[in-house]
Amino acid sequence: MKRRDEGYILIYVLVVVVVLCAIVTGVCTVALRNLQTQERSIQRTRALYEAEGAIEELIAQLETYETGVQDGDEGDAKDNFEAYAKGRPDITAASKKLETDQTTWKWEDRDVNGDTKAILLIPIATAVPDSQIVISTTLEVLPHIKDKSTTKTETIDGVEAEVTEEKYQISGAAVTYTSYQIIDQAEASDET
Amino acid sequence: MSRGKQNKTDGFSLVEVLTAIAVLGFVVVPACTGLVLSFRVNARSEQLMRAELAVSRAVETLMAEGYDHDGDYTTRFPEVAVTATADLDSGSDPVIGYDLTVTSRGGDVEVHTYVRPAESGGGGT
Repeated sequence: MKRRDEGYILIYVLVVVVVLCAIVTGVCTVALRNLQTQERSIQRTRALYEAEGAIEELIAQLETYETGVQDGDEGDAKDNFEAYAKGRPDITAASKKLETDQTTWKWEDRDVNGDTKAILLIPIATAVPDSQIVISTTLEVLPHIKDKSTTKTETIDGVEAEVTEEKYQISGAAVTYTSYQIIDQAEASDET
Repeated sequence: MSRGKQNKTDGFSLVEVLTAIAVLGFVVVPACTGLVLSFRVNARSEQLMRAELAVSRAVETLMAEGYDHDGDYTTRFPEVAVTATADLDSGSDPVIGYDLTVTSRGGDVEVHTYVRPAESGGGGT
């Protein structure tokens, strides 16, 4: 029986073609993945700085606020600062959203020099597509008495009473990031 | 050995060689295009990475030091453009902060943030 050996070159060529295709596909896939990863990294960087900027802005606004307390204690000043921080709509800019409604603000008294520590949990939705950052921060604010004045008033009964008014202002603030969560919605949808 | 007895399988026929060249041609041309494309994509990734690093470096420095209105940031950060809008407390002095935009020179990466003035000692973070 005669064996036909022609046509082997086509098989060699097909093998070469398959190997070439595999190599090129692999190289292209790696390059595209690399680009996608880089683009996501840029989105995260943008979201990160928007979020940090929002916190910085909040502190800057807080430091300009002055609260007066009459015959009250420091606790009233803290409450006022908290209410002020939560109620500032101008902190919410178009590019970023500081969700002050969801802000958990817990004050902790410290013994040293009457400094006050506030724990501020701020979820921040940034304008960066598909990226949301949830930051838990410890915001350490230092309220100090700016002015203290005592006025004497006479009551109806003719008894003299003293009313003390204290003006508090935040003299400094420091933020420590306790947790940092970047929610990449595009990546999450890719995984599902 | 006479020509008539020569084995029929010796060498490749002209038809086989031509067919092989044609098939290879159909594959090699798109493959080369794909490789060139992937080199370009890699170059783009590298460009983006450099832009991101340059922007991050500028933003981190400005957040740490604060923004100086008279500062020469064009010389200091030649790879980025720094734009700042003063945030005035109730529309008057003093400036309590700046809305900052840092853009890479190619415009690939743009970051918005908020920084404190340099005289206030920069950011609190």
